[in-house]
Amino acid sequence: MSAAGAPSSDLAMRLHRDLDRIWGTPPGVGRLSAVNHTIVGRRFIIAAFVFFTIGGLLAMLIRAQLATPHGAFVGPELYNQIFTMHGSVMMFLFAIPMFEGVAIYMLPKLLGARDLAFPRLTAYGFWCYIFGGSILVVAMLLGVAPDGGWFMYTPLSSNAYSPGINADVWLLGITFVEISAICAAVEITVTILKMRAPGMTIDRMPLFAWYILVTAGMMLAGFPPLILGSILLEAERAFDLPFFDPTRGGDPLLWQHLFWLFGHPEVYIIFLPGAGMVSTILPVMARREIVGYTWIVVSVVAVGFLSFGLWVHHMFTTGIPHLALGFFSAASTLVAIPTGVQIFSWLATLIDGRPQLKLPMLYLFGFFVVFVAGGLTGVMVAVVPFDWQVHDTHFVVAHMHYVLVGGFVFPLLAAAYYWLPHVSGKVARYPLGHVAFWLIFIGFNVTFFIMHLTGLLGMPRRVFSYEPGWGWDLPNLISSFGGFLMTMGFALFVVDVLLHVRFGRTAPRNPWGASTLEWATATPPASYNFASLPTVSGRHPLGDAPELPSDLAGGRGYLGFAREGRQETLGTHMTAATPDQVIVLPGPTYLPLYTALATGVVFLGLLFKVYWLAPVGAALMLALFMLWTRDTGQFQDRGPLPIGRGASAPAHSEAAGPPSWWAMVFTLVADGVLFSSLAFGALFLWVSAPGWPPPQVLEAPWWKPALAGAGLVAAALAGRRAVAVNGKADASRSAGRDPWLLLAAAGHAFALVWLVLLALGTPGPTLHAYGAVTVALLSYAGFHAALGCVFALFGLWRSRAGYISAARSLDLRIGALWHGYTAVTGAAALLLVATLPRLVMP
Amino acid sequence: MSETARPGKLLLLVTGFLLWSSAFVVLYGVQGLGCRLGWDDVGLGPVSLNRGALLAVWALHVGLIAAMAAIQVRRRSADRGAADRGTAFIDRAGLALTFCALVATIWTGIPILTAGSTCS
Repeated sequence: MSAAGAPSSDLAMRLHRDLDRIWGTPPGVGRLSAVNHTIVGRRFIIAAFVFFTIGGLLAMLIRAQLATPHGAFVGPELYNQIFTMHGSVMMFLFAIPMFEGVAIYMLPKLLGARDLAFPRLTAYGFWCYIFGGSILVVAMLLGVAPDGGWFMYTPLSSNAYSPGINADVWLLGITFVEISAICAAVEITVTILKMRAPGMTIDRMPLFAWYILVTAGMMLAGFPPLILGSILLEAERAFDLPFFDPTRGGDPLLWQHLFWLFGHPEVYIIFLPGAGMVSTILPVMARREIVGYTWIVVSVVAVGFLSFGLWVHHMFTTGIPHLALGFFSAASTLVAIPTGVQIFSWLATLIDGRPQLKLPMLYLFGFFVVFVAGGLTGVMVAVVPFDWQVHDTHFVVAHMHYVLVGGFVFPLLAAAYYWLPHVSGKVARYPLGHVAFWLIFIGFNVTFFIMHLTGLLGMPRRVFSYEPGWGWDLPNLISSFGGFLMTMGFALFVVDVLLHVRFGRTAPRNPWGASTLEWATATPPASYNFASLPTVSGRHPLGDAPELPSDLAGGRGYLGFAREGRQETLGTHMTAATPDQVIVLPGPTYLPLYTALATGVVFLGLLFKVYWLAPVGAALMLALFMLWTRDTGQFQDRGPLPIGRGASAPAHSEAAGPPSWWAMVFTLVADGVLFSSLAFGALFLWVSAPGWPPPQVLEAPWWKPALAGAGLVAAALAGRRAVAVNGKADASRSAGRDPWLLLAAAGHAFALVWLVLLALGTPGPTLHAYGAVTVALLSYAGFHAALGCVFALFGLWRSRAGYISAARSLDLRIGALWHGYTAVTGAAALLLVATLPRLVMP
Repeated sequence: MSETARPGKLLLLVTGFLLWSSAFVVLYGVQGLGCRLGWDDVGLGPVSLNRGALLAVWALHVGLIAAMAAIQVRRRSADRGAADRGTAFIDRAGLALTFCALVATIWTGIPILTAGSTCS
């Protein structure tokens, strides 16, 4: 081991060989076991682009159909599938996964780490994405694609009006993909907060990381309402639980609330990563530090919150009282301000810098024009009277495309050209990218600018045909022409990238003269990113220390050695970025693939209504997830480990705040949002749905829910006690924790029994939404109690197997988090179940 | 000797807007609940019970965020020079975000004063 000093070039070469052996991925079929972020990130990007191509072809079919009145290209049934799939593919299978791919590939390199916090989770998320997306595409090829719009409004998507599996394909396929999004959000959050290079204090973090951090936080809060909505709608379709059926106490507006609670933040979830790319690339092109770093951070956080206050802005025409519309209209106008702050910061950077009109800058120019126009029409539709006029017309289609293509696709194309030399190690030989830009830019504006007018002329969206002579003929023809022009631009972009990769000249390191850390790696990067990890002393690591790449390659940073064949990287303090742990990461394994296949069994069982298959798949999933833990943990305390540069830090399993503990915290945040959405749904139905009060309510004596709650609270207290006993005891007496873990498991089991009994006693879950939401609340608590039992028994097994000591208490602390959360939400669910009958009955 | 921020201090960046979120959701919830329970038809001095409840919720949240901003201003002046870079940044950005949340909360609640009825 050579920890510090200046190793000779032979030693450095040996270090690179050793690291490559440790971090590398096996060739051939072994590549299916890849968990490395560079490989998985690249796969995400390529897969997302394939889905983008599919979505783009569907858009061309739409434009072919609408080019002339009475278009005979496709009939209404097929057209419904085409426009539904276009929206769904672009939103769920292109935009989100593409940003995830860029973040997965780029973040560790930007932050000065060797990988993300949970490489196997990255791979699992990728497979879930591929399998979920494949369900949708295969369904489309078989002619049973979803056809109720990408927003799946009820009652159209309910069983009565959408029999068959088309809607199920959407609900289950998209939920499958959303697993991937939640995995990515947890992973990204933990990585940014805990794995930045030493010295990269919170105020020195690259702006791209700030944007992605806020985006990931929004995903943790934004996706659970849609996941809940999808579960409830699928439960309605499969088991006739009438959450959205107004004839039985349900309400279609509940679906709209849950959908748009996700759907509007989703627009910003797509835009913010694009803005992060702009904030990264623009200062390099302008050859000036970004103006207003702190104000950009403040604006991004503000946008992250305010974007949630806009969800009813999609429901202005549903009959909601004016006062409530006022709240949402106010928030909708407000969100323009922090967005404007960012735009003015970028403009100020350009004005004060020495901009170079290189290819990425050209695409940023496209971004400015298109996104600002989309933002302005956004302020227009935020105003209720105007929105009433253009609601569900092509004006909204044009606005949405201006925002999403302007806010994400143009920055993405800029990023593609900016980072291609990093990915491929080459620079372009031919200037095709410029031609592609002008085709895309002109084609886009020809398509969508005119579409504003089509909408103002009254043409509704989602219609497959129209009459001649209504003034819509020419605008539609122009839009279709523009669409095909834009497609040629994208085709040229693909050709350009292929030529670049195949025939490009070898790129110099850091061809743009950037100052961020990703350009300190080799290009293309090695599997371990950095032979040793950097120390950062400012916001511009490469600008401050141009010799940094060679120092790191020579092993003169942290962890400049290969220890015991382990994949090691550093964990640091969340704000001060001082090293506080050595994170040991897992190597290539097929487990994520197998686990995703088992997850697929669950979803396919539900899709084809082979319901016995779903629990079999779930049991298989659980067993496989248990196998993930084989490689984690250790049988003895290791104490502080040398990390180079004369410093030392404990292994993550002995650290106070390891990544997996934080991952559980953020997972529970998302889980809490899901529970809050469910509680909101129950109260919303009582307050707003027709057909209340229900004919019957649960008539359980108070002590039954109290006993269930007592079981959950006992489990939580026992879990905490196990951690406390473990922390105090010396090694010989540490077995004192085991009875507490057993008690925690028993508490959960006891609660589960009472929760099941209460659910079985709920009158008529299929007769009225009251019964359905009561069963949903009890099922939520029951599911968590069952998993709590698993957590407690797992802790007990790890304890008895020797994985746990006073220093190695991570398994117990993670379990305690779950037990505590289950007690709090379980008690709240039981309180609501017990109170609801008193609230709803006159 | 500079002070290193604890991870929990990062919450300063979001507390103001968490309160704004609370204001937003509670206002929307109280408005719906009040209409369900007929509070719009019950008088409370010069306004209806529903509007009164909404004004109370709004004022409470504005007061809480303003108090939080005041505390942050006081702490920031007391800690000036003693904090490390990360802490100083969080203090500065956190204060700006709390002020933004205050303005957002005031702006969001203005329709309570201007809407004719709370339920139609």
